[in-house]
Amino acid sequence: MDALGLIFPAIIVVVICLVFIAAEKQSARNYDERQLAFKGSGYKYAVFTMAVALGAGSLLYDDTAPLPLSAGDYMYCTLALGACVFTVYAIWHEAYFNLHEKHPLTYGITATVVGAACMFAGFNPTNPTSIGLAAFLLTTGITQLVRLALNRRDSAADVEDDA
Amino acid sequence: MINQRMKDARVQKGYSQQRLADLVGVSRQTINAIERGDYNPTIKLCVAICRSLDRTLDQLFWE
Repeated sequence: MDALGLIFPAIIVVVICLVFIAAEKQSARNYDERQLAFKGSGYKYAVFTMAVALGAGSLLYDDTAPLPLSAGDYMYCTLALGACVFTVYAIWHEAYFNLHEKHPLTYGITATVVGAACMFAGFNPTNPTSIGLAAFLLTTGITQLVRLALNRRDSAADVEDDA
Repeated sequence: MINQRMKDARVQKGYSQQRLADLVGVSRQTINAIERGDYNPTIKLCVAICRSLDRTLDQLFWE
């Protein structure tokens, strides 16, 4: 692997760490017990999902049956699946990340459009990582939009009740 | 079980869900979930809500 091949993943890891640190600081300032409880459940379901997927992978990947996905791609798809489960669960129970909470409609529309574009006219439709990312964006974007629509209906009912 | 007493107290006080949520430092969705009975708040949040609405724990949360 050349130097560029090492630097790029290292940059991604550093960026992910910085995002997590910023998110932790933000959550300490804006503590919402219900959201944290649902995020905890979301993590649990995501870990279970990834454990099942990895267990299935360990059975599927033997030397006798070549599969269309490389082991690395399978790992990536497993991670994407876990992230997708957590994010969909968190959005559905309105335990948002800050991005979703501040700009939920923007996130929903952007994720849906970009996800659909990547899915149907993607960078490389045969690349599992592109498909995994597109599926993640599309799923979370649609979930966000459906949740917003349900919230608007509930908010209208609340306003009528308050009046 | 819907917490109608909390909702009535909030409306009497003239607060929207968002206003109450800002006062006690949680999201509007959390206030909504408490009023609908979908979430049982901790005692810490109950006290914060009672203080914001000028009510006691008994008045809002005791059955």
